[in-house]
Amino acid sequence: MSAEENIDVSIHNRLHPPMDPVPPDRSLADCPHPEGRSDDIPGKDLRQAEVFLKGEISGHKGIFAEGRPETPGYNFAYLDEQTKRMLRRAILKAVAVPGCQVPFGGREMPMPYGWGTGGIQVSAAIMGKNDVLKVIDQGSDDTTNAVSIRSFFRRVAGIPVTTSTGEATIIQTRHRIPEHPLREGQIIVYQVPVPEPLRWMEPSEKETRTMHALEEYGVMHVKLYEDIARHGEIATSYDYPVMVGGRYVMSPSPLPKFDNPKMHQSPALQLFGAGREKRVYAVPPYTDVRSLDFEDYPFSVQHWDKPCGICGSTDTYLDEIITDDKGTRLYVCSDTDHCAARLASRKDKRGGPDD
Amino acid sequence: MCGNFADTPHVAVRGLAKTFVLHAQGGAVINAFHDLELDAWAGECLALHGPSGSGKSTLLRSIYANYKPTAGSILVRHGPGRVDMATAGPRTVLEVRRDTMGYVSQFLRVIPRVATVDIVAERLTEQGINREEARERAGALLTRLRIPRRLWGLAPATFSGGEQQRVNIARGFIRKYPILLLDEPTASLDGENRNTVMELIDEAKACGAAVIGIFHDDEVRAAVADRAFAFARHREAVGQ
Amino acid sequence: MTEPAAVGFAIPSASPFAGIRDAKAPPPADRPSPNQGLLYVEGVGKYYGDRIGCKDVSFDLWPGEVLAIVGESGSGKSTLLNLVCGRMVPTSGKVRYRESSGDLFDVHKLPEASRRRLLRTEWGYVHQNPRDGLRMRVSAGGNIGERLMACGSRHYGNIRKTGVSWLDRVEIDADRIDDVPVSYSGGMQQRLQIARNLVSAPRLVFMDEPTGGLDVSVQARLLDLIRTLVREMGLSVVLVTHDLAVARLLAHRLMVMRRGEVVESGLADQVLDDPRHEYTQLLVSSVLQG
Repeated sequence: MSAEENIDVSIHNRLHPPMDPVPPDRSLADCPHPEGRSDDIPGKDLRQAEVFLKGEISGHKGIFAEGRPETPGYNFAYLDEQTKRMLRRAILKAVAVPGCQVPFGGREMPMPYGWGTGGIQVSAAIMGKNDVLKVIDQGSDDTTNAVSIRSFFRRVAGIPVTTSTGEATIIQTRHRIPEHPLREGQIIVYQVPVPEPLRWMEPSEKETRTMHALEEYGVMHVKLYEDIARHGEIATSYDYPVMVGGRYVMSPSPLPKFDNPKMHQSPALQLFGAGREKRVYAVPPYTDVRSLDFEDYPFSVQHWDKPCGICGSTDTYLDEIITDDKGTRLYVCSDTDHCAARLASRKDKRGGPDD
Repeated sequence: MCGNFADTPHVAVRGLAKTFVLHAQGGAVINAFHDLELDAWAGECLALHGPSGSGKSTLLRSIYANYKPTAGSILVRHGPGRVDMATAGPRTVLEVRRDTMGYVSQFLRVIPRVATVDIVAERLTEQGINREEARERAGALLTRLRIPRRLWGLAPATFSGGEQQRVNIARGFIRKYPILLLDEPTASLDGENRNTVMELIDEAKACGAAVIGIFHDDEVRAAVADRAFAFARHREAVGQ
Repeated sequence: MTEPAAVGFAIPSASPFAGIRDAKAPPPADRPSPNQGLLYVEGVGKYYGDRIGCKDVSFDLWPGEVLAIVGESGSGKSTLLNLVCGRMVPTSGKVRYRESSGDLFDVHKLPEASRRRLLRTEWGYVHQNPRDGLRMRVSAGGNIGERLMACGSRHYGNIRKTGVSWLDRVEIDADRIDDVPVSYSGGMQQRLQIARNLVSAPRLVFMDEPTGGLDVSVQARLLDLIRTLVREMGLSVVLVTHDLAVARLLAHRLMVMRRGEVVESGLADQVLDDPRHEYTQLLVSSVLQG
């Protein structure tokens, strides 16, 4: 299995997905001071901090960075307490009405929209000193976005961070739900770019609100109908609409539909934050989450013909990566933590006395 | 629809008056007729006779409720009851027209794009007769009126005047209406077709229909009419 | 409407029918019977301050009836249509509709959810501009299927089959089912809009100038199609049009509006052939003879 050992699991050979587009009207607060004085740039301390932590990309598992003193000058978890309370009220309401979008007064964060400002605000509002944070982007713990957010919270909240799904109490994610099953007591926070599932059919916000209020969800099936009419199957493979608790149709953000079944009856609390649209919504533990479909075109998840090129897994979501200039393709787990853990356990077995 | 009502007329017009007020012409008032009384009985043909402009067509249209009389009544036998066409509301009028009263006007009001055979058959389908049978019967009548089969599938908009008139006649005679109003049905028809129309009128009478007609052709009138109702030229314009 | 509520006929003593008027005779059909009407509009008015949108309009509509509201633009006919279908709330009067269950409801007192449900099940609304009534980025099949899906259809094959049969009914080639309406001609778009409305077999359809903006030849085809469908499906229609020829061809009854008021109403061909009101005479005489 020498091929296995030669493969670099780090981010550098991975095809990096494009970031969400940055809106052109983003605040001037992100710009340096015109006269170049560095001491009054918002978030100066954060910018000067080291981005990568020692051992972070070396495959070290477990809680690799212990809590450390918070950066002075910032409240715990960056947001002030009033803002957190406001967010928590919105989150409570969202939990009480599963799948319903609840507006909140979004704050400017020291990063642009599209980088997870909604998820970060939700995480900041629910974070306590005893929490352990895991951040993933495209299933990976070591992409830029994940690394920055983890580093941000380690600095402003001083809490321990991890890459291990099992050890984390809060998992902030974009695009994926970890392969490792979530458990009770965990909270998964999704960064959501477009929270409104009806937006594709109905541009008017007033109208979509009415449609949610009156449970007028026929148009969601029109969208799926169009898919089948054009592609012969339901081609929507991410952000696949779901019905939450038999009442609200919800957008699971850019999640691949592969992960939709994981939301159903999950023991963990699922929170969704959209920074640009300033909405939160939630799926409380053990709630029904059904993917919309047709009787003759039932919902199904993606399958791959090949196992993961690294760990050999056949039941996980795989990314296609190009490993050399000749265009050689390799399918590997998108959940790097899960992939590495599986690989390690296989190695352990091989290296055991029975082998 | 054949029936015998020997005791009362099918159509009884009493004290009928019709005036037109032309607002665009300074409120000019035209009296078409007044105090008009006539009866039409089952199985007879009543010919309206009089010079052009004397109000024959206006009377026919009033009986059909296409015009609304100014005064008087037009009682027509409709099913088990009677209806006053001068005051009946739209729904009653439409019901009478559907079940009781046929009207052959001088001109065919063309319905765009509808095939000739369907224009005729429509009178049967609206009564609940199935499409196939209705078309078959429409075809038979069109054949009798010498409309060639090749024209049946076409809309009559492009037909000659005589052909359009015969389609119109087929529409009026396809059903056995107890009351039949004919406004110059044989105008612009040749001899053969005129004879066919006279046969149709006789058949309707034999079936017990009361026929009221305007016939410009003396020969036809003499052949089909049992009685004549003479209009004097009393249409007058009253200035205002 | 100006016609009397109950049309009895005063039989003069000289009448040949005097004294023999039988008790068996059915009641005159124009008397409103509590079980017959589909829609009752009673004294409906809409005022914008001093300005009249529409004033004291009453009519009722029975199953299978087509009522045309004619008048020039600004006569209040569109306002009336909006009031009747519940999009606008009247200043005075009320509109009642009999649901398929047989119950009579005040349209403006219905909860919004019920009213919207009516608009996608028992009612239809054909807009003058198909862009207002179609989803322009959704295929023809999706447009037709939307009402079915909104009513709970969850079988793609059946929805598509229905879509194909409706395209056929409105004379659009079945192989255009996956094309979006922007690729259709104006006449096809309007026919598609009609299919989208009629697929749920509504009982009452509102039409706002359905043939407006179409070429004359296209108009004729559409009119004939509407006429056929209305008859086949026994639809009740409230039709707003400025085109008297359209009214003559489609409508049983007619209401002529001017400055928010109904000036004349009655049997369609009677109003058009024997117009009595000054304004109706003007309208009729202004029609170009084709």
